[in-house]
Amino acid sequence: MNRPPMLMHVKIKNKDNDFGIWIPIILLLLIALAVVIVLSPLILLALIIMLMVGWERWARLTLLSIWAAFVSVWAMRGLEVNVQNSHDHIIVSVI
Amino acid sequence: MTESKKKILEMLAKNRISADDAYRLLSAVDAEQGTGGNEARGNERRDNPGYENTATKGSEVKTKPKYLRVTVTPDPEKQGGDKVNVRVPMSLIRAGLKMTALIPPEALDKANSALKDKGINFDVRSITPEDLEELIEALGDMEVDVEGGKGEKVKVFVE
Repeated sequence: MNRPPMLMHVKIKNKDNDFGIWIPIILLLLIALAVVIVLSPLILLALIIMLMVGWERWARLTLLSIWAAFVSVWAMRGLEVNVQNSHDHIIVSVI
Repeated sequence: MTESKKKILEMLAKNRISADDAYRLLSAVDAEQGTGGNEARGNERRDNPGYENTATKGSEVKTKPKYLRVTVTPDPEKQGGDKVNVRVPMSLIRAGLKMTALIPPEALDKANSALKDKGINFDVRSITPEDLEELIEALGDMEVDVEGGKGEKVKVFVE
């Protein structure tokens, strides 16, 4: 299993600006996980209601979306985007 | 340091190859040495009767691709071109491909009909997770090298 990403570094550099920010993804991920756990009874209730009403597809999509959001953030470790032209230099890296 | 690594660094110092090329060549040399190491370990195990059943086929060991790289290098003679260097982890591609389950059936029908219009008779819904895994494995052998009309070089490869 992959290790989760810890930090995201975003840097934008041009003539006027030299902006850089470190985002602690691991903290955001943990907070999101805590929120999902706290809200899990409500989510479960909503899913049961959806299934009872006949909205199986929406129930499946809701579960898949939550799972997909976590998996995609979890898999971001190692992502690097570096774009440079004569005016701007943008760096996004996930470590 | 091995002779090959020295040669690569000399070529880089003389500007005969780019830093990206040097990195790739060095990685290839490292991978080759790693495979050689496995072979040596395999032979060592084969020589030892205790390892008879656990002998590995060192030459068949293939490292799994970890990243998909896309690089765009502008023409060095022209100024103002965009320089792009993107590295996407394979795990992210895997996650993305698995999210095809989120695509609504209507969109898949539209994709199928669009493919049919182009003369491709293929049902997108028939793609299984195993097919996707095979596709990702096959990406390891892929390398795209394109030189644009403005002199920019585009490279797509895995490492």
